[in-house]
Order: sequence, then structure tokens, then C-alpha cells
Amino acid sequence: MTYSDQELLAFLNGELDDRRAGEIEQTMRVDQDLESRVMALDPVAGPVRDAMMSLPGDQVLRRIEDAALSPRQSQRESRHLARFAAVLVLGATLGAGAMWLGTPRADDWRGRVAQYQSLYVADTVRLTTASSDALTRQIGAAADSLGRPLDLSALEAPSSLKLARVQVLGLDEAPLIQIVYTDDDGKPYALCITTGGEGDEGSDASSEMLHGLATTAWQDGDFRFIFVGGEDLSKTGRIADQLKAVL
Amino acid sequence: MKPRSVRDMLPRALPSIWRFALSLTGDIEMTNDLSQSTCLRAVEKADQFRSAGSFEGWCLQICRSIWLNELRSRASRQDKAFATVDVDQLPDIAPGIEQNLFAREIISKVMALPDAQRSAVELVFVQQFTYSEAAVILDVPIGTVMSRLHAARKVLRKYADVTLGESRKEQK
Repeated sequence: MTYSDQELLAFLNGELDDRRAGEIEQTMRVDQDLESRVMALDPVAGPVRDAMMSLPGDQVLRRIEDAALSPRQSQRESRHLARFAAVLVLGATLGAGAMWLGTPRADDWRGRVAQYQSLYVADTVRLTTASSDALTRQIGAAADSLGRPLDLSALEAPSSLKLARVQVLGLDEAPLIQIVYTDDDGKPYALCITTGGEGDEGSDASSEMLHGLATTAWQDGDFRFIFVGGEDLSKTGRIADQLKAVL
Repeated sequence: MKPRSVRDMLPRALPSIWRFALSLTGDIEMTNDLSQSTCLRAVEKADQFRSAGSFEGWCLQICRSIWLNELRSRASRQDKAFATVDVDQLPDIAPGIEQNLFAREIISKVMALPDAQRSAVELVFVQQFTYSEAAVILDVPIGTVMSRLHAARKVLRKYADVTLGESRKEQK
């Protein structure tokens, strides 16, 4: 059973007749690809996610981590659970206003990159692929912005992908270098590099699905890297390993 | 899994736990306490977590379980209703003023949803669990998740990413 994007959008908007909508619901229960498509098409999810992901702030998280995850937490556990019950009864106020005063977590950068990348389609890359000369200039400009050498041959290390374009973007106050690739089917991928922040990627690469895309992130000194694209975490992991070895 | 391993994994899961707790409680103070309790319980039950499963999903099930227990306890005490989130307390949460206002408005609408819809929105729209994963965490049939999202979508439709939808229509 196949459904067009238009039909799935109509389903999400409640504009399909009950029979057809019920059919899609039933199919989704057994067809994970369809479920993924429907979720990716949902026009409400993205804006809601963007807004909600700004919560909670760092202050709130640090406070909870200190309270619940400090080395002495086990001794405090029974006391804490009792306090939770007491708060339910008394409605104690604990500086609620301050709890909203934080900023997005530093590691949200991966989600932001993945979200940006999720807007890429095959034509985005096809129509903007740089010539060899332009690519050389773009890499030079990116290296200058980043404050780190970037070598064309290193960027071409993933043999299964074709290097298409390099551009300088910004992430908060830091440069964000986006190196765009495409596979034989035209599917877009990107390696993004940024600086600073308090990223917790670590030197070991970690992979996760973000905004429907496979991502693998790691850190090297002051530089943070993420390879993003497609839906295959093992593939982004493999390519990330290739890039880590040469960058 | 050892308690120490779970403790090491919790900081990364904490934003998800906190937002899910907020979706359950609709109350800031309760959210902080429920988040803390969830972390403590997760460490305590570390040996029950199987590494093949989703760690965040497991934590959220614990969170929901603690919350339900508290609700039952509270019902038996006939406590007063909780205060709901005062959106006026929201600070600047995005770089630009317009974005701030937009995000604030959306958060306000989400927090005004009925509890059940709010939790489904948090799990599927925000945390991107699949419908079936969300159904497991909420312990409801998958159809219930879908119908809750459908109802929430009607309220939140005005914030839809029209550009995204239109561009995808054009691609077909």
C-alpha cells in the first residue's frame, strides 16, 4: 500500500475520510517506514519541538543533577522522596521563576544541525554543488573561520560519498562549517564542525537519531564534529570513523 | 547494568526526563521534584535496565510510574489541584525577540493542553519517539496515542510549518 505525501498530510490534518484514515493508521502499526514518513511530514511537530527543546535551562539541570546524582545521593534518597510527597501536599515554592531562566543546553547543537540538514533534499545538493576551484576557495575560507586546517583530500576520505560544497555558517557566537556530501542516489549528508561550548561528545563517537536523521558526533580538543544524513546509524558511524582518522 | 553506569547516563537523559515530567505535572516545582525522584529511582533500579532497550524510554516509564503513584496518594488525601505553569514566568528562551514570542506562545498552548495530550505531544513531537514507543511509555494502545495527537494537532495547527508542508507537496 502506498500513500502520497499529500495524502499523508491530509491524514495529519484530519482531512481524510474515516475509512482511508483508519487504513493509514492500521498500516502504520506494521509499517515502520510509513510511520517515519508520517512523523517527518507532521507540520506541527517541528515548531513545537523547537519551542519545547529550549526547556529546561542549564540552571535547572545543574540543580537536579546536584540533588539527584551527586556521590552522596544514595544517602539522601529516602529523604528526597519524603520531601517530594511533602511538596505535593504543601505546594512549596522553590523559586519557580528562576527555573525558567536558563539557556538551551550546549549539546542541543546536534539537534539544531540535524534539523537544518533535514531540510536538504537531493536537489539542494545537485543545484549547489561547487566547481573544483570554488571548492578549494570554500575550504580555505572555512579553515580560516574555524582556525583549523582543512585538507581537501581528508574531506574526500569517505569513498562512498562525493564532496559537494563547503560553507561557513554560524552557531550562536561560533563558526559552524558545513561540508556537504551526496551519495550515488543523491541523498544528502554533511559533516559539520564547530568550536567551543561545553559539548560532552567526548573523543569517542556517539550515534543517535535526531530529527529523523542518523547522526554521529565526537569531539577533538576544542572542536566538535557531527556527521549527519540518511537513516542508517551504522553508516554515519563508519563514515565518522573514516573522517576522524584523517581530520 | 551497574548503578554507576546509569548515573553516568542520566545527565544526558535529564532534559527529556524533565520535559516529560513537565508534561505530566503541568507544574514547575513538581517537575523538578519528579525529575529528581526519577533519577534516584533509575539508579536504584539500575539492574533492571537492559542495555538493548532505550535508556530514555526506560527512564520515562519510571517517571510516569512515580507520578501515577503520587497521584493515587494525592487522590486519597484529597489534596488541592496543582497550580499550572504561569507562562508569564518564561524568560527569553531564544535568540531573537520574535522567536521568543513564538516559542513562548507555543509552549503556552502546549501547557494548556489536557495532560494526556500534552504527554503524547512531548513524547512524539518533541522527543521523537515513535507512536508505538510512546504507547509503551504511556501504557496505552497506539490508537490512543494517535487520537491524542490528533486532538492536540487541532489546537496547535496554527503553528504548523506551512513552508515544510507546501514544499513537500510541491515535490510530489
